[in-house]
Formats: sequence, C-alpha cells, structure tokens
Amino acid sequence: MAASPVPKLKAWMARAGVTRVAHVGRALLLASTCALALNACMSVSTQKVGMTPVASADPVHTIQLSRVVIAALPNDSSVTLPAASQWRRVGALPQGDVYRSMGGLFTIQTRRQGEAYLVASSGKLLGFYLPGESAYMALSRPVTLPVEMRQ
Amino acid sequence: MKSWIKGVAAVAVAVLLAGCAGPKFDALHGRLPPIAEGNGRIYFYQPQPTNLAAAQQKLRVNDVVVGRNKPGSFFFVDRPAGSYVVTNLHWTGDGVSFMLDPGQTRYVRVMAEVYGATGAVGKLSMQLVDPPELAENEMRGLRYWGAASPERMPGF
Repeated sequence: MAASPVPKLKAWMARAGVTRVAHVGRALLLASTCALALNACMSVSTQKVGMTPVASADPVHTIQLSRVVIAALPNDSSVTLPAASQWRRVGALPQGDVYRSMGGLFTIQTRRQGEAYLVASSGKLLGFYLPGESAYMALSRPVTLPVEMRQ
Repeated sequence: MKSWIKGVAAVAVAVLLAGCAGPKFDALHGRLPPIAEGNGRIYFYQPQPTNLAAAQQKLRVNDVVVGRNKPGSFFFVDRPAGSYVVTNLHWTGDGVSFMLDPGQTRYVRVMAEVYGATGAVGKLSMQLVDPPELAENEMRGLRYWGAASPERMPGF
C-alpha cells in the first residue's frame, strides 16, 4: 500500500519555511490593518467647496479673539485658537464667512497637516476651510467666537 | 604600488562625491533666481544627518513628482499661485496642504522616523514650517540637492 503524500508535503513545507512565511505574512497584514485603522482615526470627512473671495472693493474686515478658543475636531483631536489672534475675512462659503490668520500660518492636523481658515456665522465657529484642498470641514459642535474687536 | 593606486582611487572617489554635493543654502542665498510674477516657491528640506540611511521617496505636488528627499539636503520648485497638496505616498494620503500666494514662499520639512540607537529608519513625515526665518535657519547647513530634472536649477 502506497504511503500518503500529505505528511511528506507537510515536511517539505516545514523545511522550506513556508509556515514561517505564512506567519510573517499574517503579522504584516495585521500591522498594515492597524496602520490603516490609525490613519482612518486621524482622517475626517470634508466636503469640496468653492470659496467666493471678497471683492477688492469690499472694506477690509478683521476680528480679534478676546480669549483662547478650543474647538474639538470630528477626529477627537482639538485645535486651539490663541487669545488676541487676529483674522481677516477673505471670502465666504455657503456655511459662513471665511477668515484667514493675520499672524502667520494656522494649520490643523487631520490625515495631513493642512493650512486652515476659520468659517464662522452668527458669532460661532462652525468649521474650517482648507484652502490647499478647497474643502470644508464642519465641527461636530459649533463654538462661540469671543470677538473683541471688529473693523 | 598597490597601495599607491588605492590612494589615488580613494581621492578620485572623494572628488567625485564632492562634485555630487551641491552648494550649501548659505552660499546660495542671494544667488537664487527671483520668483516669477504670479508664482510662489515651495522648499523641501530634510534637516537630518547625511549618513542617515533614509529611503528616498518621491515627493509630489498635486500628484506631480517634483523630486526626492535626501537627508541633509534641500531643493525648491516654483509654482503658480493656488492650492497645493504635497504628498509622498499615494496610498496613505499623508503630507501637507496649503494656499500659495503670488510671491510667497512655503517651507516643507521632511523627516524620517529614526528608531532609537538602532539607526533604523521608518516612514517619512512632512510639516509646514512657519515662520520663514525658522525654516531658513534649519536649512542653513543643508546642501542643494536638485528637484526632478526639468526643474533643477541650472548650473548647480
């Protein structure tokens, strides 16, 4: 009676390190899944929008915050707007007016680091406009903007 | 005789390598071409030791490859004013995004993760650096490395 080829095949696979390769493959798959999951945690949903810029004939409109504002992003991180920071209105979205930082670059960290402008309406910060991506990111909870000075 | 030949070969290799290394940022300051009207400039730099065994990856501006990172080096590209996303790997979508105004210069710092004393190098990350003085201070000792060939600064 002929011997079954299965044990021989298993022995050959063990010698060839096939089992080890399979283990490494599973570990790599797990690591990749974790990395993608972490990446997904940082990403937030945005919507493509086109900002209407202020006309050059329009009067310059700036605001200054009277105190620090902390806004929670939809990805569970938060962003801080410094007290006394000044912002100039540069355009409008359907969601509200758009303000750009006058004190240098202002960014938020989602999947990538993006320059961000404030989007505000009726004295509340509603979200951020990402000019590099022409996208709007809404806050899950609007925050009151304590405006100290208007011009 | 053999050692004499080895010595000459070593000197020749050193001269060749020195020829590959571009001028330092300090030396180039003031000799860089002006930004054309309506354009802005984007710098890429990696302020890490040149002996770091970091993988060179393609750097993309709005999905177009403009060059590769290299420890201890920098390069720049000029682009029309507008919206830009800078990435390295397509599949992660990491990187930075920003608005480039006419005449404006943006600085993107590229860093490779280094795992402790092992010297092992992980993934690349990018940060927008502001104010410009901080970026230029970090670039002071770095060497011009060159963008992808169509945009490489002639003569360097």
